[in-house]
Amino acid sequence: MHEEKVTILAYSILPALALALPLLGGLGTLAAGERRPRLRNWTAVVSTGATLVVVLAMLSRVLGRGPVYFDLGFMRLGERFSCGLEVDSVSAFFAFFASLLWFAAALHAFRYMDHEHKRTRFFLFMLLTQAATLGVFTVRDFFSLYLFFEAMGLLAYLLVIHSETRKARDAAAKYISLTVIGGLLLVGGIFLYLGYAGTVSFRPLTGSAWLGGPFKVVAVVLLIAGFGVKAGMVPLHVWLPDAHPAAPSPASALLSGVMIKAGAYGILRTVLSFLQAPVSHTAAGHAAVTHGNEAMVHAAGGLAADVRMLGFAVIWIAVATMFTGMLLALVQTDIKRTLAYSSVSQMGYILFGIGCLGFLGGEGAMGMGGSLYHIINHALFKGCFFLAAGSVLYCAHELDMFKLGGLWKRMPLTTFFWCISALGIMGIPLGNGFVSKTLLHHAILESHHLAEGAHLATAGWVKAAEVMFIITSGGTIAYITKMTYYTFFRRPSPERAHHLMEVREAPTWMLLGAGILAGGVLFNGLFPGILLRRLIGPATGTVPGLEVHYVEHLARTPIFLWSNVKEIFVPLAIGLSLFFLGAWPDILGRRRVGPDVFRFRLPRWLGVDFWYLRGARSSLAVLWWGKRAYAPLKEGLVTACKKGARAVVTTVREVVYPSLTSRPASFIREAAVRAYREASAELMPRIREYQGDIAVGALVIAVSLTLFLIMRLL
Amino acid sequence: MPESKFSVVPLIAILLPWTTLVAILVFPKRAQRLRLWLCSLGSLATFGVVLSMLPSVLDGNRYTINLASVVENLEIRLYVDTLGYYFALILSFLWMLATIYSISYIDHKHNRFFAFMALCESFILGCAFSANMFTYFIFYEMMTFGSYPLIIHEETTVARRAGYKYLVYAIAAGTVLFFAIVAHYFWGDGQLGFGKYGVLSLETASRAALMTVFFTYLAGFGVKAAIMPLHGWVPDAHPAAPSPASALLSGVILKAGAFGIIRVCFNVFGVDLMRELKVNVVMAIAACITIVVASVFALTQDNLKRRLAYSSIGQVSYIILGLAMLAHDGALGGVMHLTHHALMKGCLFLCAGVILVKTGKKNISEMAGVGYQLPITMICFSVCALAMMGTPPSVGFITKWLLGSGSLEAGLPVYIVILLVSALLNAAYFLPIVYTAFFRWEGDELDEHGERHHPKLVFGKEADHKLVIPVVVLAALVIIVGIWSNVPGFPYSLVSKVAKAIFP
Repeated sequence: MHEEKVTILAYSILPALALALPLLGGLGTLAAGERRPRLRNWTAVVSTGATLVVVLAMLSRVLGRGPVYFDLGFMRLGERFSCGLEVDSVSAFFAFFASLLWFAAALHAFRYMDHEHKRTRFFLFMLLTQAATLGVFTVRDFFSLYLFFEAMGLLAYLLVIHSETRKARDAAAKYISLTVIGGLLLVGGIFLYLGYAGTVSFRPLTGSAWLGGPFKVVAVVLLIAGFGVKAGMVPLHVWLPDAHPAAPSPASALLSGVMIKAGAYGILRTVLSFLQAPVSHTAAGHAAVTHGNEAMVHAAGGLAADVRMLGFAVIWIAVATMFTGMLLALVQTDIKRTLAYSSVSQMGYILFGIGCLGFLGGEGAMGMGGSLYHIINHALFKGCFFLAAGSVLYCAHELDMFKLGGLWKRMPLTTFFWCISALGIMGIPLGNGFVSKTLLHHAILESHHLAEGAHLATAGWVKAAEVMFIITSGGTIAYITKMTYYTFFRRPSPERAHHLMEVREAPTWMLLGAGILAGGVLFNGLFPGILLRRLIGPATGTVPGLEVHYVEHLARTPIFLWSNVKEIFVPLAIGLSLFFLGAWPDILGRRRVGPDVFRFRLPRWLGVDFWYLRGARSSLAVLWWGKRAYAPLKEGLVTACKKGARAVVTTVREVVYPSLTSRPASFIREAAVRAYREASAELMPRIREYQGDIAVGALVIAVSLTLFLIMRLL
Repeated sequence: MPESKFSVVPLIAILLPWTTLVAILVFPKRAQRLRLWLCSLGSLATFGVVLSMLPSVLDGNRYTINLASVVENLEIRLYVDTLGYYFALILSFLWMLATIYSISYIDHKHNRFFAFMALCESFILGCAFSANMFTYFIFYEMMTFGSYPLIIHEETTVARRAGYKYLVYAIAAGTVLFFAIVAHYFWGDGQLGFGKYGVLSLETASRAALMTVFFTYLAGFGVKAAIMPLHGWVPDAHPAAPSPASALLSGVILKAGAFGIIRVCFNVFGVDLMRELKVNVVMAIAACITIVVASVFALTQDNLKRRLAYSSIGQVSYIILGLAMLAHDGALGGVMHLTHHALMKGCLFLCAGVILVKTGKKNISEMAGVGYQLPITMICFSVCALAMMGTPPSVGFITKWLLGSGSLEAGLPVYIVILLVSALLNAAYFLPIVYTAFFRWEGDELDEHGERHHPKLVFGKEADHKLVIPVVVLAALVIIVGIWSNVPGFPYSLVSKVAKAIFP
C-alpha cells in the first residue's frame, strides 16, 4: 500500500508571506512613484530580497521537515474547490530559483530603467507578476494553479508591451492572444482532468471518476498544450521570440528565466499526476493479486503503458522544440531574439527530461532530476545572458550583433559574466549545463535501455531522439559562439569603431544582477554533488510514484567522469565547424565565398506563425461574412412578414369587405344603421340625463357578473 | 409551502420606493437637490430593509404576507424564501447604486425618471418576493410598463423606436405568459404556488400538457431573458436608454425573465419532472446557440453599449444553460451568475455612461486614449472585462468554473467547449476595448523614433464622485465576491443552500 508515501502537512505562514511581500512591495513602488524614484527602486530591490530570504527559509524548512500548507481561503466553493497553498520540495525548488532571478532582475532594473518611460508601472507589474508566479509554484491543486497561472500571464502583458513601440504592441497582441487561448485550453484540460481523476488535486483519486478512457487522452493533450503555450513548446512558441526581445531586459530575463518555467512546471505536474495513478493502481493491484482479481492488475499495466506513451510523445515534442529553436537561433542577428529562440530550444531540453520521466515511469528519477537541474541552470544562464544583453543595450545602444564588436575591452566584467553563461549553456565541463545535459543524456540512455529490454516498437525512435539531442547540443554551441564572437571579440568595422570606443562598463547595479547569476552558474557547474544530494535528490524523492532506488542513484550520480566528459566532443565538433562555416570570412578577414549560414532565411510560409495568422484572419473573416450573410436573411424574413400582413389586409379589403357590402349584406347593414339612429334620437337625451347612474350601474353589474362567472367556473 | 411566519417586512421593502414619489410631490421644484437626494435615500432604505432580513433568511426562516385573495387558490401573496431573497438583495443593491449614479447623470426630466425608477424597483421587488406565479405575473407586467419610460427617457427618434419595439415584444410576451399561467392553473390542479420541489406532476396532467406549459413559460419569460430568437428588443433598448437605465435593464430586468425561468424550473416543475420530460435539452440547445451567436454578433458592433447589450444576451443564457444541466454545480453556477452578471455588466454600462458624459464618445473606434482621460473608470472597466472572460479571481471565473464542473456532473463535456468558445469570443470583443483605451492615443503612430508625446495620466479628476463611486464599488465587488464568495450574503452563501436542497 502507499501509506509510506503519505506525508503529514504542517501549517506554515511562509508561503503566504512569500506571496504577500511582492504585493506589498508593489504597493510600495506605487506609493513612492515617480516623485521619489530612488525610494521606489530601493523598495523593489528590498522586497525581492526579502522574498528571497523568506523563500530560502521555506526551502530549508520543506527539505528538513516535509511539506507545508497555508489555506488562503479564496474562492471556497463547497468542499471540492478552494484555493490554497501547499509547498513540497519541488514547489520550494521552483520558488527558490524564481525569487533568486527576481532579485537579480530588480538589481539590474535599478539603473537599466533610467532610459525607459513609465518606470513605476514597470516596477509595479514586475512585483505583481512575481507574486503571481510564486503562486503558480506553491499552489496545491490545478484549480489554484489555474488562478495564478492566468494572473501571471495577464500581468506579464504589461511587461511585454512596456515600451509601447509598434514592435512591442504587435508582440504583445500575439502574446495576449496565445495567453488567452492557452488559458482556455488549460481550463478545458483541468475540467477533463477533474472528470477523469475526480478531483483537481495533483494526486488523482481512483474510482470516483465521471468520465472514462478517451477523455483522459484529451485531458492530457489539453493540459500539455495549455501549459506548453507558456513554455514555448513547438508549435505553440510563436509568441516567444517576439515578446521576449520586446520587453525591457530585466523583464526579458524574467520571462525567459522564470515565466516559461511555469509552463514547464505545469507539464511536470501533469506528468507526475498521471504517473501517480499507477501507484495507487499498483497498490490496489497488489491487493488484487492476493484476492485474485485479474482485471485490476490489467488496469494497472494499461495505465503504465499509457504514461509511457505520454512520455514518448513529450520526448518528441521536446526534440522538435529544441531542434527548431536551435535552428532559428542560429540565423538571427538580434542578440535578444537569438536568446529568445535559445530559450525555446532550452525549454526543449527541460521537456525532454520530463518526457523521459514519463517514459521510464517509476524508474524515471534521472529524467526528473535532469529536468530540475536544467531548469535552474537555464534560469541562471539565460537570466545572466539577458541582463548582460541589457547592459550592452544600455551602454552601446545597439543589439544587432553584426554591428557590435570588440566590447570585451570596453566592458570586461560584462564580457566575463557573459562568457561564464556561455560556458554553462554550451555544456562545457565546469559550466552548469554540463551537469544537467549529462543527467538528461543518462535519462535518454536509460529510456533506450528500457525500450530495448522490453522490446518496445519505440526503441528506435528513442535512439533517434538521443541523436537529435546531440546534434542540438552542437547547434547550441554554434549559435552561442557566434553571438559571443560577434558581440564581444570581433574587431569592429571601421565606421562603427569610433562609436564603440566610447562605450563604458555598465553601472554597478547592473553588474551586480548579472554577477549573482553568473556566480550561480559557476556554483552549479563546480559543485554538482551538493546540489544533487541536497536539493534535486530530496525534491525528486518526495514525489509519490518514483522508486526510491532510482532516486538514490540520481543523488549519487558521478558527474566528472571521463565517460561523461568525452560525450562533449561530438557536439563541440559539430558546433565549432558550424560556427566556422558561417564566420570564417570575419575570422580570417577574407571576402565571403558561398552562402552565408548566419543570414539564411526560410520562406515565411514554412513557419507555423504564418499559418496561425492566416487561420485567425480567415476565421474572423468567416464570422464577418456570416454576419453579412445574416443581414439579408433577416431582411428577407422581415419583408416576408410584412408581405404576409399586407396580403391579409388586401384580402380583407378586396374580398371579405366587398362580399359584406354586396346586396343582401348591405341591406342588413343599412337597416341596422337606421334602427340605431332612431333609437339614439329617442334615447340620447335620457341617457345624458342619467349617464352617471347608468355608468355606475353597468360597472356594478359587470363586476358582479365577472365575479359570479369566475366563481362558477373555478 | 413550508413553514412560514407572517411579516410585513417584505411589504415595507416593496412600498419604500414609493416614498420617492412622495418626495417628488411634497417638495417644491426649488428643492430639486433635496428631492433627488431623498430619491436615492429611498433606494438606500429599501436596500437596508432587504439587508435586514439577511440573518433570518440565512437561519432558514420564511416570511410571508397575504395581500389579497382574489378567489380561493388565486391570491396575491408575498413570500420570502432564499432564492427570492437572493434576487431581491442584488437588485436592490444595484438599484441603489444606479439611483445615486443617476443624480449626476440624468440632465432633464428628473422627476419622471426617478419616479419610474422607484416604481420599477417596487414592482421588481414584488417579483422577487412573490409567492406564486399569479403574483409574479402581476408584478412582472407592471414592471414591463414601468420600465418603458426609462428606455425612452432621451426622447430621441431612436429611443422612441427602441421603446416601441420593447413594448411590442413585452406585450406579446405578456400574452404568452398569461396563457402559460392559465394552462398551468388548468392542468396543475389550481396549484400556482411555488413548491420546494415543484408542484406539477405527471399524475395531474399528460406529458404533452406539461410540455405545453413549460414551453409557453419558456417563450413568455424568454423574451425578457433574451433567449434567441426572442432577443430583438435588447440591442436596441440598451443603447437608447440612459446608462443607469441600461445597467438596470441588463443587470436586473433581463434577470427578471431569467428568474422567472429559474422559478419555473425549480419551484413549478421541479428537477425530477424536468428530467422526466427531457425539456432541459431544448433549453440547453437554445442557450448554447444564444451564447455563441450573441458573442459573434457582439464582436462586430462598434457602438460600445450595443456590444455590451449583445454580450448581455449571451451572458444571461449562461443562467439558462446552468439550469438546463440539471446538476448541482450547474444550477449553482447558473443561479450565481444572476448576481455575477449584474455586478459585471452593471459596472460596464455605468463605465460606458461615464465615457459618454465626459468625452461624448459612443463608438469603440473613437476611444483611443480614453484610459488616460478616465483612468479609474477604465481600470474598473478592464477589471470587469477580464471578469467577463472568466479570468480568476473574479466572479466570472466562478461562474465558468461551476458551469464546467456542472457539465461534467451532467456527463456532457460538450458544454465545456461552448463555455470556452464563449470565453474566447468574450476576450476577442472585450480586450480590444481595453487595449484601445490604454495603449492607443492620438498621434501614437508617429513617435517610433522621435519624441513621444504621451497623454498625461491624471487620477482623481475624472468625473463627478456620484458617477465614479458606483463604478468603483461594483468593480471592487467583482473581485471581492469572486474571492470570498461564501461570506454571508454573498451569492455562494445563499445559492448553495438552494442548490443543496434541490440536489441533495
